[in-house]
Amino acid sequence: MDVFKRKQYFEYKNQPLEAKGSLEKEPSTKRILIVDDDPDITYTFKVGIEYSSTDNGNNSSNSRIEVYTYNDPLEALSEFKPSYYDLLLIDINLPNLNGFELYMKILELDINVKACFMTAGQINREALREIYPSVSLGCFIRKPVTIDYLVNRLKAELY
Amino acid sequence: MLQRISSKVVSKIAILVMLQIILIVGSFGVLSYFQSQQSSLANTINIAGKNRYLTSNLLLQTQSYLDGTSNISQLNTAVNNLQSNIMKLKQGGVISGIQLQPLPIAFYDVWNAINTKWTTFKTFIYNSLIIQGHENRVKAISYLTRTRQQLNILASDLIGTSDTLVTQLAEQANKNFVQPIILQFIFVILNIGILVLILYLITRILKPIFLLTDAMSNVKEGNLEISVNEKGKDELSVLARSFNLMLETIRNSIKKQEELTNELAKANEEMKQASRLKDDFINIAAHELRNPVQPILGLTQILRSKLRSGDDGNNTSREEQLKFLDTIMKNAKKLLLLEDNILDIARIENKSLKLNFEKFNLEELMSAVVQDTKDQIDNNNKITLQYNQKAGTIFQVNADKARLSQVLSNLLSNSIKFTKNGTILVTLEGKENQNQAIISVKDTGQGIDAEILTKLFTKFTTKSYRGVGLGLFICKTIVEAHGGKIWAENNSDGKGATFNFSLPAQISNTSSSIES
Repeated sequence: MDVFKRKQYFEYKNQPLEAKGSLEKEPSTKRILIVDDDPDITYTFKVGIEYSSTDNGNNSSNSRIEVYTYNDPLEALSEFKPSYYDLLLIDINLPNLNGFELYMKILELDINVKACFMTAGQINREALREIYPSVSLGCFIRKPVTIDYLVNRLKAELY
Repeated sequence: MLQRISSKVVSKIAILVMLQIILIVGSFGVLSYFQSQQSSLANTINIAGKNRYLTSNLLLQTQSYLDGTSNISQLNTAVNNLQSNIMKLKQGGVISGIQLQPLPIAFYDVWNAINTKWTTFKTFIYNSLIIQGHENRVKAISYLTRTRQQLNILASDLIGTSDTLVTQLAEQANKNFVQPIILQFIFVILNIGILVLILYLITRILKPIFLLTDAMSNVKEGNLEISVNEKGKDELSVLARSFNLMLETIRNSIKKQEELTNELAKANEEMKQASRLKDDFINIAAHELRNPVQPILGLTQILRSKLRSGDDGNNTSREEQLKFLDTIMKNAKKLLLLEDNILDIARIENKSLKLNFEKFNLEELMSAVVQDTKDQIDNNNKITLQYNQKAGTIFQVNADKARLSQVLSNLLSNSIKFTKNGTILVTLEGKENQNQAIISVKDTGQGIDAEILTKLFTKFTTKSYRGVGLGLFICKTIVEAHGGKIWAENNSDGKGATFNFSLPAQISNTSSSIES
């Protein structure tokens, strides 16, 4: 994904928005798509992110985050809605289709969407850059993480 | 030194050198012969020339005698001198201190002529002077005059004939002079020829050395694929043979070295591969150990936050809290199981896996494990877990309870993992007389992939992306340590697979045992 395009998008995002085609969303609500084959992890993240985005129970609409989860990458791909999500959080080790390939296929549908990748194993950036040169590898999360860390990291990418 | 002499090369060269020496010595010998011939001829010429002087002397003596100025003894002496000179000329002997060679036969004719003339002269002198005596000297002057004339004629005849001899001898001497020069010339040519031949032969004998030096310089440049001509039977051919053998040895050892290097490279590659597998295993194991920690970490954090902020009622229900805790527990157990698996693998590798054998009834253990598993099944999966056992049969085994539970649990969790919805049937069977219990776990899931069917019970074999692939390997080790066997196959109806393992057991019917 082109870094410049991303930056444009970033600046664009900081201004008050016109609706981008997702009419049901309030301007300050962000949508995250999480794909991981472990349902416990998707459950944990969904609860954790949504909980901390509601500011620990207070219903401030300041920075609400909606979390959508999938455990099967093919299912996620087939049901993917372009221009719907603000950020993707994809596990690298997925069955049937690995995280990078999933992201590259999603980019064909939605060129602007950002992604963070997560893994429980070692991250070898150089090897990954060689295999997937077109994927921007700026955002990497190594499981396990605390919810705080996860939310802060995701917010850094969103805002 | 003796060895050197008996060397074939040396003997070959020695023969050639001796040939040369013989030739030189021979030519010298021939020369010397001719030289001696020449000098003896000179002596003969000398003596033959002396004839003239002696003849002149005799004539003088006769004239003096006739004049009355000399006596008969002087005349006799002169006659005898000439006589002896002529005789010695033919016979040879010592004259005036020189050893004279006999006259060559070729000149006998001339000598005979001289001898005849001398005999005539001598006879005339005897007859006319010596015999007739003193008184005749003063007699008729005319007689004397005639005598003197006759003496002159005879003397000059003799001298003439002697001169002929001398001339002939001189001619001979001249001829003798030319011959050795020609011979010498021939010898020089011959010598040069033989010398060239010797040089050529030496070069040929030493040719192997040149070949060797050429071959050596080839080898120096790195070319080992050469060989030297090893014809012949002398030391140089032995050297050539040795050289060839040496090169072959070097070539062979280089080839062997290359083979060794290749084998080493292969072995190194295999070792790297094994190490890579091990690293992969460690990576996968580490990966698998980290995943279950995430829900534990996350959910405890969320739960704590919620409880601390006094969240109660709307946002969090007790149900949700319980769900959190269940998930946490589930993952903690998962973690534990994984850690146990990895430890087991380590122990198996280390050959330090210990089994605690005890006697118990297998069917009791099996129903307990099945019940446990039932409790743990995720409600999302529509799976029915059933346990069938032959009623009224007791299977007594001598085994490690914990390990057998582990095996069964593993097989069950595999079946659950690969069956989205359906039935999992666990059976325990056996025949009394066979002393073997057979446990089967049959599911209606997605079955076993053909490509892993053959390596099902090896390490790192898994079709689950959430597994390390150790479980079945551990099961196999445990079952075989109990003296049993483990195997698996896809179901004949195409739905799912069945895993079986056998154990030595004492099977008895409760009815029969009751009776007894």
